[in-house]
Amino acid sequence: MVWRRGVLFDLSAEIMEVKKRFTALFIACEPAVRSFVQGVVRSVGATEEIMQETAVVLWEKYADATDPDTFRKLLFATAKYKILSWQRDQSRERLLFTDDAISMLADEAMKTQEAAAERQRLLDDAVSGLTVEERQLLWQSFTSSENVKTQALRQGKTPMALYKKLQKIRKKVLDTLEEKREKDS
Amino acid sequence: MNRELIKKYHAGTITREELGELQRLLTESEAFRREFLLYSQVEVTLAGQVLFHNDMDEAIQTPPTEGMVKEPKPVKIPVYLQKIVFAE
Repeated sequence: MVWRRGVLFDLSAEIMEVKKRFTALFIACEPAVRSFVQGVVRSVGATEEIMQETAVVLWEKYADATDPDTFRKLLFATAKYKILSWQRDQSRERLLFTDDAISMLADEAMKTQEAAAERQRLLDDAVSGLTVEERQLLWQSFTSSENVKTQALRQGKTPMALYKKLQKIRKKVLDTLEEKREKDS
Repeated sequence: MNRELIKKYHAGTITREELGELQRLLTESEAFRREFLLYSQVEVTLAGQVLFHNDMDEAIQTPPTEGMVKEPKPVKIPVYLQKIVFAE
């Protein structure tokens, strides 16, 4: 508590308000930034690290970036520099993007930030409606470089059975997305 | 074919030539940049939910000890943000 112009102010309430505004701004941009970072670095661990370092920088510079537009620009620029710094630490042998490609992706992610946030909400709902097994299957088919036949053999299924199962899961996700979108509009 | 390049890049199986092609598409086409970001977003969502549920399974299979959270719930605010912003 401090006295300001003869009035007793509760500083902790003021600080909490600042923290709330910062968090709201960061969370609104998070899906777009995270997709951008994960898209380039391809590692959940590295993405977490970059997101954390980016958040620290943003928090330190927040006093100069309280306006949503300035905040967004600073956030994507910081994430981009953190990615470039991460890339410099990687082995020269690794296949990495050029600075130009990263900059263009950062600009695109910033431009589509609102749509990404909305999409994230719908995606979270749709995927959380799946069973654990369905999520695992979808995750494997989405990320694995193996074809359906190889995946099916590894799982002890026939390729047709796995194919049909995946089609059913995809339809379930799509139906949920459509339903949510219709409800919202 | 173009989507295959994104998938290969994410799976870490892309060749140098394919990476060159992927970068060419990314720098030349706005639609392709959007597709690339969308792919990442779906991957992030699936990864988050699959990993979260793997943790849940592990938590369910491991008998809770004193002081352990018995029913973990999804956290809306990312943990690192909580640490930074809400740390005293």
